[in-house]
Amino acid sequence: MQPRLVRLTVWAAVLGLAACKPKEAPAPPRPDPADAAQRAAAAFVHCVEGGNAACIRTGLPHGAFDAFVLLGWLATGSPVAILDALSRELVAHSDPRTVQGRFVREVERLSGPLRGAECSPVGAQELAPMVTQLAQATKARLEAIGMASADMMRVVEGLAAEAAEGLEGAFLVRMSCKREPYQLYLAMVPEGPRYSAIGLMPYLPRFLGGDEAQIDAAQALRSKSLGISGAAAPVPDGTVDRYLPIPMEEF
Amino acid sequence: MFASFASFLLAVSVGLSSGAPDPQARATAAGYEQLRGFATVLVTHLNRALGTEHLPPFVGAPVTPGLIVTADPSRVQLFDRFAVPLSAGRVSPPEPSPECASKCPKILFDTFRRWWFELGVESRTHAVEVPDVVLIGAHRDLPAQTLTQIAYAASESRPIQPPRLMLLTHGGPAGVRGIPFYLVRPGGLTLPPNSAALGLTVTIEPGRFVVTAAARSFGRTLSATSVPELVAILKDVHRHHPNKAAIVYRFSGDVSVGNFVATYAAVREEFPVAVLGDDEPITIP
Repeated sequence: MQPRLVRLTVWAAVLGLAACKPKEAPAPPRPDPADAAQRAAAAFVHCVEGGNAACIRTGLPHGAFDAFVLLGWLATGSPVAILDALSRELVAHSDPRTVQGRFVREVERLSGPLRGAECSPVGAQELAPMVTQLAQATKARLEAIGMASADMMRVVEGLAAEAAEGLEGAFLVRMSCKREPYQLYLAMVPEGPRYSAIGLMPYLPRFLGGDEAQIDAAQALRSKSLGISGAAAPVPDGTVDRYLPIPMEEF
Repeated sequence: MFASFASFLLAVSVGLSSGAPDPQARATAAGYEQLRGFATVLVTHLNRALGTEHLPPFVGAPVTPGLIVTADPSRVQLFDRFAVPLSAGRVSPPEPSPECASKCPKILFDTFRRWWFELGVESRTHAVEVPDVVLIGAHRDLPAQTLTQIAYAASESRPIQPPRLMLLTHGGPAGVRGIPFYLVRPGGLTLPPNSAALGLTVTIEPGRFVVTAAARSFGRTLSATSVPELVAILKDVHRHHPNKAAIVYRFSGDVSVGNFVATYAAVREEFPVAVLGDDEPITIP
């Protein structure tokens, strides 16, 4: 047999064998990462409801979501609060233990209200694309309100870079609850094949896709989970009332 | 990269706080008066939203940092977060909120309440106080009744207790200044019979001022058709009631914020405390 014919025969045999080989079952479709993140968020809330201290995993990019939250604050917060507290917040942000400790305390605080709140996931957005949008909005806002110093712009760029890198593949899952806290956004980051919670926020600004109309501000302001309800300071003796705190004799 | 960014954050945070007083000094300075950078934010925002030259002219008190609300004849802005449209300076639609005892417009009340919610979230998240000062920068041509509605909506929607209020003015070379003011309790104020309160009220109408008082002992209604005439009346009232410092201002018709500030400026020596009221009755049985 000529060599060329031998080669053809061998190839034909190989192809024939291949054709006779039983077909492998098609690989199962990869689960939708958004669905997986929502399932993980629901599991996290159940874990928190149960008061399990091990709900929060360590060694995850909590700082990246903290950077995202700080950018959101600069984009929407009150200037009085920003001017007053930004230095302190940046110091806290630069310490990963402080960032994670804050998340732990927030989760502990919410564990009571979440119990019986019947929260379930209603949607998930990828976080990484939101970071670019948020950074642009933050810069534009700081310029508009006269707070766009060179240092401030570097802070924004640094926070945006940190958030973009650490939140690659992460999702923001919106949880809707029948009772307070009524809604909650959970940041879920991929950790191998599963997702873990790295932070939470009570609402999302409209320019990032949040539906602010769904928040009942009256209800939310009264909620214990917000923690700003309470008794007013007593009206000083001799003054007219809370609205007119001047001495009665001057009125 | 992030290690160096963290170092940068620390450096910047030190830079941001340098020059500001320490917390103790800040507390003793009665709140946020020393808040570095606030004056820039205030003037920048006022110029964008309104134009500081459109504030009513008056060299008032130094501004205490707080939430900034602006209002011109076309809209009310709650800093740069929310806006409520106005029609020729009036809130539209004017339907009152059932939750607002002063019957302030629902659209204003709900918008302010939404803002307080956000500030509550901010307070929780970043460990700051919910601001307790509201600065109102109103165009001098804005109907003064709209100013009163804004003040009530901001106050009644705030959780826990009403904020302190200040009307911003254009102080010429002194820059942006303000007139602190109060409100008559929403729904009306009833004082004890032995309170010795006078409850002096000036109703500013177009071209006319009406002076009354809640105390029965006052027993008369006086009117003036010019500011000097009003000043003469009020000086006389002050002679008889030298310890009284407050006037309740009510507005009717198209009386503007500028008219109110001009009136206040003329009488503030005798009566430095401004109190705004809409229809809230003041009763001294």
